[in-house]
Amino acid sequence: MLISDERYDRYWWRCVLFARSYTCDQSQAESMAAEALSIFWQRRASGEQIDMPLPFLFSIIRNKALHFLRHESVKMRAHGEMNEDAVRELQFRIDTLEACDPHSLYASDVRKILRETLDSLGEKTDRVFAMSRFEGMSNKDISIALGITEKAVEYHITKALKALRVALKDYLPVIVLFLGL
Amino acid sequence: MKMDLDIIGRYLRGEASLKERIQVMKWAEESESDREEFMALRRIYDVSLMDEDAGAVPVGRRPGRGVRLLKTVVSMVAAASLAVGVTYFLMDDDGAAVEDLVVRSFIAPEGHRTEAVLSDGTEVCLNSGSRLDILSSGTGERRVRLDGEAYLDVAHNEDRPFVLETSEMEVKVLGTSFDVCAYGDVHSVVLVEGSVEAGSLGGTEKTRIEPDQMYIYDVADGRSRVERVDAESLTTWKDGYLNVRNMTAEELFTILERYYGVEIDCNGISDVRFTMSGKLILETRIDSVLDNLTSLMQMTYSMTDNAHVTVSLISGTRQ
Repeated sequence: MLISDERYDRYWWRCVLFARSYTCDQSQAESMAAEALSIFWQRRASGEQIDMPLPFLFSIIRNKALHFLRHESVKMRAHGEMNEDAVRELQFRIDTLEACDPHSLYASDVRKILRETLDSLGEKTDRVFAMSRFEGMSNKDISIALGITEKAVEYHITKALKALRVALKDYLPVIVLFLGL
Repeated sequence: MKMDLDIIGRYLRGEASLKERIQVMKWAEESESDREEFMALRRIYDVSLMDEDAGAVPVGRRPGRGVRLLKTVVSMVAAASLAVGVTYFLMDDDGAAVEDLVVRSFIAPEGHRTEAVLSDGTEVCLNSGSRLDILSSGTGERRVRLDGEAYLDVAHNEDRPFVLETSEMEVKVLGTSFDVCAYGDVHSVVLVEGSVEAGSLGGTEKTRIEPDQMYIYDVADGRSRVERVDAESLTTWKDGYLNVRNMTAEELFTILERYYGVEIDCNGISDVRFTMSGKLILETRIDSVLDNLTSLMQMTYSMTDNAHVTVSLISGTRQ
């Protein structure tokens, strides 16, 4: 049953965030997430074994988002968009999304190192970092929710990012190259 | 060049303005190292979304739920009080009177659903334009009041019965999933699983219903009846879509009216039955939904302002 399955909740928000990250459009992102999840459930209902749901869902969203962005780009040109930066910015998002392969990202060591690094930084940093990543909460909201100062929130986020950059320094350029950038 | 992490954060979350997005792009194009830096952050963000062990659960048990609650309740004050408010029941339990901000009401603005997990583990999904007040006064009973529609998954606790009241009706619960709809003259309960007892507010007589049954209370004459229904299809709104199956236009547009808080005039076609069936995604804006409908059927609509819609069939297509 689609509705009561816990996984629906678990994946929904991640899918929306991934779609929104590239489309910058909340309602488009929600539709794409809903469509991707519905494809996922149909495929599973028909007996297909999907071992890695998240990269599967993200790949569907990637294709949908690319389709949407290319269409937007065509529209923009057709309307004779004067703002050249805006046209380039859209193309920039298309390029980075084309270079994003959810399956190889998921399969790479990056995910493992990311988790290990966040674990090593302590619960608080992990929590602050995740709140800012997933929940899209502002530093101010996080500081209120956790009862710490905004400075402390910034500290945790910067600490996490720095640690991740160091921990992943040997990996990310490889991925970037691998993905043809 | 140094780039503001806040702006990059907004960029990656898809919340940056066009101006900020252009700023980030120009920064990333500046040099090879800036580009590498940007791509690294971009991939860290993407891969972290696929990190299944992420620890942060700000409210409740399921990340997605708490998150969406925070997004819809929106205001900073709400975020502040949530952290405290959800422990409301628990505080009553151990009798510690903590004077602090406490959430006593949840509101779902029109066009949005709001989800909340109460500290006892009960999950609430509020339909658009609805309001839930927490009335529990620490007497052992968990009591809430609903205006509008809500889906509840009540955490089982035999010692503390859960009671939901509307302006007219009362539903007593031990631990179960159900949907309560309290609009206008008809208040109803649809049971998904478990068991509930329903009756008029303050009345002594209660009717016990079973899953896939609907208890309907008619405010005008105070009479109630029980009908057999498909509970699942009546509660899909909480997942962001409607099951359109053999519905008349009037039935569908009444639901949309409530959901988006608009007036829809479908007089010309109110008795038309939709022959199609499928999911109608409840988008954030009513016009997106109407656009989707017009692509499915020979229908047009016009909006005079944000609150009035007129729907009609394209002439000649009426059978």
